[in-house]
Amino acid sequence: MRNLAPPKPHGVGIGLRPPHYPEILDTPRRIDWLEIVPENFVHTAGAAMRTLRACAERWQVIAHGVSLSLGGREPFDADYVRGLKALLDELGAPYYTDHLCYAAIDGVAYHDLLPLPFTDEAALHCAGRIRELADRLERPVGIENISFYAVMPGSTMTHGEFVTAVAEEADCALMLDVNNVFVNARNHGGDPLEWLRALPLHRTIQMHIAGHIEEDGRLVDNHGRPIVPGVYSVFREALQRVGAVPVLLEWDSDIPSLDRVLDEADAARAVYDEVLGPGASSGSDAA
Amino acid sequence: MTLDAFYRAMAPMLEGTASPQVVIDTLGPTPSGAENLGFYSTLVERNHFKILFELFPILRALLLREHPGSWPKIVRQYRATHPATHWDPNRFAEHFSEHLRAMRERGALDHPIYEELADLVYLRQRVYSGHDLGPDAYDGRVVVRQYSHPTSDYYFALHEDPSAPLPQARPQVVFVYRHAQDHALHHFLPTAAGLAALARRQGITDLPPMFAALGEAQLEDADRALVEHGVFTPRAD
Repeated sequence: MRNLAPPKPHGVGIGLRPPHYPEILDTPRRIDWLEIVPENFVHTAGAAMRTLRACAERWQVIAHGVSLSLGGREPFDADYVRGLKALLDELGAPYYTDHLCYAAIDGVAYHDLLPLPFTDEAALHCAGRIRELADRLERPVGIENISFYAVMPGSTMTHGEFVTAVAEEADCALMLDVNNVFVNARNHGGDPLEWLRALPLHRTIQMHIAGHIEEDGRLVDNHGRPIVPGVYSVFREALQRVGAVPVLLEWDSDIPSLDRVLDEADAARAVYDEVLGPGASSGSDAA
Repeated sequence: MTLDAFYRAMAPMLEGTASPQVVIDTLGPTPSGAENLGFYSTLVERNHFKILFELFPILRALLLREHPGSWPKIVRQYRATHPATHWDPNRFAEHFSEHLRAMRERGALDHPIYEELADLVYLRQRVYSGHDLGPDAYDGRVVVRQYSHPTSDYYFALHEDPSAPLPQARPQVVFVYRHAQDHALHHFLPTAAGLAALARRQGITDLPPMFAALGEAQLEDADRALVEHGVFTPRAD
């Protein structure tokens, strides 16, 4: 396995989102760390970048990308990757995470996280690109298990087998999204905990926890609702299996007040400390 | 099935020009069924609508006011003729003004204010986060536009009153800029001296005749005013 330096953040962080820029630096409430969508900051200046820099002086900031299309066939955008690396260097980000998916075909950007066919060819293809990206960013890369609403034609393995094959071949980390585990289990059938156990959990570098909506009978991973008890069940099991990795409370659509997001982060942190021991979210040695 | 075959079959469905059944006929069945496969076409279209909706809420409302039902058709045509090609979602809107102008030129829209508002709003978004390039960052932080209508005024009028009547033609020159100190977005309607001061800051010496009569003192006054408004940073000298 690639030399994964211990992640610097610990506990439960939140996403740095534009509606909260005006107030986040003044909040007296606990925020363990922040995650950004780097596409919002690469090659930019102005108020948002100023807020990010001020936040980075106070909190550890991790970048979680959405556009690199790890499963895509176009070469990575060299200018973007250079900008991304510069941003990660400036933030002192110990690792970078993105989604195990594709997001573009032949130069057309779909601005979505699209599932690949679960095949050996796709796994090898993704693994090669993940290794290339880690080399170019000069830091470990973690891949997120995405929500998917259809198994792509031609698939020859399960989702868990596919994620494992990619992670093993790329020798990369797993960015474990427990909401996606729950959503996939509900949409495709099966026990969410079985879906969880099928993933290469020993490679987990970070977790995401989020809410979802139900639409026309399917759960949709929209990061726009409070976390439901079923997701917390997966979260508890994941913590027991993975241990004290940083957790990110995602709330990216219908974004409420910062206080409401922090209430949800507090709830996740309470579960974290309940499962892993008092002080675990603070990185306490006693935990 | 190869990955190449997969991408070849998926692209038309994601772009809304082929049905999920075509994908299944080409690649084979999915245990999830055609409806769930086709949901990805819906998601991608939703994403593109969302990008334009969030950038252009005022323009969308105006178009729906003047041309009821027009917005979905306009966006679908735009997706078809100007697919998103950049990792920055907002760049999907880069050619929206051109698209509206083309619609007007073929008679599908009746007023240039739509394309001018689209241009102005897109500029605001670019200026807000544009990279500073030079000492005064003209390329990234300050943009000058001449519109055929009082587009800057109308932009603010629509925020105050969504029923504001369409404007009459009257050329308007506007600086759209990010304040040099506080990074807030502003519009500034420059005088001729202000335009000349900007040109001078950019090192342009071959000014149009209309600026020839401006004296040094007028240019200095205009420069100072633009510094006060945060368009320029104070000169080092």
